[in-house]
Amino acid sequence: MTPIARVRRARAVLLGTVAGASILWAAALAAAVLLIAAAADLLVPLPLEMRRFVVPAAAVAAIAAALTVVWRGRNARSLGRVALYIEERRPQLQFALATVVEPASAPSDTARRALERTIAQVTTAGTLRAPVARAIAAPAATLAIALGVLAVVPDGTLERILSPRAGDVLLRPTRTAPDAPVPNRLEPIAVHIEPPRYARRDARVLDDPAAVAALVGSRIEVRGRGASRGLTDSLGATITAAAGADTQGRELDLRTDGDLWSYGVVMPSDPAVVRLRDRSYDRLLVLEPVPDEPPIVTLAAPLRDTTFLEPKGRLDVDVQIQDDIGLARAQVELLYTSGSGERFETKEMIVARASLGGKQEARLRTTILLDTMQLRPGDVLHVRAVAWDENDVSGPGKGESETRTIRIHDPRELRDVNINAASAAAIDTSIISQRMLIMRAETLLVQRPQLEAEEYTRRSVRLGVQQGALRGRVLSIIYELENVEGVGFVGHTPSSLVLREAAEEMRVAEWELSIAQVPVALVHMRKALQLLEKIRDANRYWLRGLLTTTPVDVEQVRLTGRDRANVGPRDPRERPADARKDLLERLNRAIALLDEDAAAANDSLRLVFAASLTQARDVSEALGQVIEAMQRGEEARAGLVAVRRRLERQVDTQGNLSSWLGSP
Amino acid sequence: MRSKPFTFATGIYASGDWESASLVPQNVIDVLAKYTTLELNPEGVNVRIDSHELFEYPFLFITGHLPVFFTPRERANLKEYVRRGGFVFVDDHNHDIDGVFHKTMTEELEKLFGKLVKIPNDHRLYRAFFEFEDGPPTTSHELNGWGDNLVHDYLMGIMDGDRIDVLYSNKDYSSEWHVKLTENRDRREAEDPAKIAVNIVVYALTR
Repeated sequence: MTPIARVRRARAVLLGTVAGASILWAAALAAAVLLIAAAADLLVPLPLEMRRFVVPAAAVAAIAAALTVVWRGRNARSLGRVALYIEERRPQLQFALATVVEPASAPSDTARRALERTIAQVTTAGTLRAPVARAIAAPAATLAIALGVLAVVPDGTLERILSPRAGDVLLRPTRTAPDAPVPNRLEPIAVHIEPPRYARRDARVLDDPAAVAALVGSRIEVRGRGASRGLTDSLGATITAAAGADTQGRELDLRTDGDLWSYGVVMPSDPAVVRLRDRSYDRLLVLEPVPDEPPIVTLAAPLRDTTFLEPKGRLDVDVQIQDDIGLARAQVELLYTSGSGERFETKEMIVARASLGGKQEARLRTTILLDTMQLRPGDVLHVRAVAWDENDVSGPGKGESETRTIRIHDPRELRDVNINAASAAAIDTSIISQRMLIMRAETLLVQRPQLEAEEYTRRSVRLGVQQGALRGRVLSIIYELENVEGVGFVGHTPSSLVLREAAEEMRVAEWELSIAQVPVALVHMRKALQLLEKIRDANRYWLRGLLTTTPVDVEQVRLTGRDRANVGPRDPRERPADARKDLLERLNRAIALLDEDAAAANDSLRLVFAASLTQARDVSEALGQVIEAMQRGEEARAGLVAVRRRLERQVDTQGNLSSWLGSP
Repeated sequence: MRSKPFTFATGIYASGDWESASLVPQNVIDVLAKYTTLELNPEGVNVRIDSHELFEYPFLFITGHLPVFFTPRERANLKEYVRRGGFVFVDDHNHDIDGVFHKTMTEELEKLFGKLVKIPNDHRLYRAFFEFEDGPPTTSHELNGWGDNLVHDYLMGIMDGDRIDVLYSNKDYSSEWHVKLTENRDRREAEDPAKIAVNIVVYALTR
């Protein structure tokens, strides 16, 4: 073998060693990280979020170890360095090997042969055996030890580290001897939540929760362990409505699977409390139903109630629909009412329908052609949209839009209906302006003899411009009366027709003023003012609710009834119980109990929390957070005081109707 | 404690025709005076359902023929009114279970308060002052075949246990009580149709 070939072979061995060592160190370090995490988790349960970092941390450690080894062994790539490495271990070579592989030295043929002879006399076989063995043995041993220890860690420990997930709290081994008394099997627990199928949501798991919030109809399964240790008869669970949490609840059925026990319940529509029992231990779990909200239906058009002068034209209906889960269908409904007094005719019809296939947002548009409906003056149309969601458990949830009332103008209403005058600011300002213009025109006429013809004309033209501007304001009022935002022109109104007349008079006056015909213009200006004043009186709000009430002469008819009456004292009406006040008292008792019996206080707080879900929703979230914090062992007194303050504030401001006291 | 005189409050709502039975207040006040020693306000009030003034009266009467669609403010106020202990008596002036007032009003009430249930005819309401052994008395409209031509032998309500929070009548007591006092008094042989009003008011105040 030539010297070069020898060095190349040594280089290959060294590169292989570096690669092997790097892999072994990487694996060893990764295993060590996992081992440390598993040991720590055995001592103190690591939170899920922390365990999620263990595998990435092990990978980073492995990569770092591998890179370090490769960096340190980088010289193995160079033939010169490898030759020197061999020379270092075989000094007899006297740098002959290094000289041969060094291309820069380029020895003559004679010198080369001399060097090769020197090299041939020295045996290099086995030179690398010891360093290679050392390089491989250390990481291999470390890896073996780490894997060995990992192999004997209790069941479930490694799984919690390698694939951490909610619910794996039940995998964590307990450090109890087989013959030790059975510990409290209500800790830890995992709660599996499977939302109803229509919601198309994934199942989830909660570790050791104090409360479970889930869609109504979700399948809730509370799981614990220790079933294999006998005493299953001592396990029990009841569910009670939160409003009557101190009453006896319904027993739940126990299921066991190996060491696991579980209780299943369907999330009710009202808050409830599950009380788990194991011998003298018990634990409360609050069920917080999340209602599937009904669809939100908004009528984008028509935007407001309106009156059509005639039953003609088209009414565009534009509906926006939203749902938190999924929409099933929607429709636009029309309710037609005709008649008056005691005689009414009504018809209901659906003018548009749509199947929405589980969308969370949708839009429904349709047009109602009033011409085809054979409507008469005085008829009323009520338009609304209705949508249903896909809730097949507690629903379907039904959402309705506001109802728009479309009236067909009935001229008789002006005579028959009790109406009351109301000021109309826009008209009033126009009236004042028109009156001012008339006064200025009259003044101009009086001053005419003293004015130059040119000055007289200039002032008249200026008045014409002002009259034009005023006409513009009146036209804008007409536009407002005859148009509805989002709908467009909806027809003339009695007021707009009068205003149109006024605008026409103003237009003529403007023309006359522009040619200095002030006396003629004044005739039209006064007519316009008359019309504006007329419209102010006519433009009234239809105020219903002005019915006069007739007093009864009570003393004259007092006890003149002929029928047998049951006159006598009666108990006064009781004030309705103030749920918030009651809740505040319960909260105060629980806080007072904190120092004496923390477990009892905790239970009381959970019951208060359950009750607050229906009776004081504004504090339930804060109270829930406090309870979760207490479960984590954190100080929660400040949070409880904040909740109490909020409840106190509300209790002070909530009043009941004044009680009537007396005897009939 | 000095008691406030009872005031008969009629609810004003934006839609429909709340004012369809304008003589009801004076008839009910009259019949209350005839049979009870209740301290009475001689004049009823019309109060907007969406106003804060509503909370001054523990008894609210609502009637009408036409479709009822409460505004969001009316809904919120009415719900709060009942939550605070107010009593609402709703009467369908149509006497028609297929009528628009019935359909829309029951829909509104159920949206606000939950399911309307039939009130058993042995409920305390029917013994609160006069004894009505067979439940709510029939009206002349029912006997004469008006509306849906049915005798509705029950009232409905939004219940809190046994306590009625909202009383709903499909019997058209509004028409029965919307009769001028002189006409009412002339019917000497007939049982006073407004007697049930006494029970309703007394029940509302003592429930």
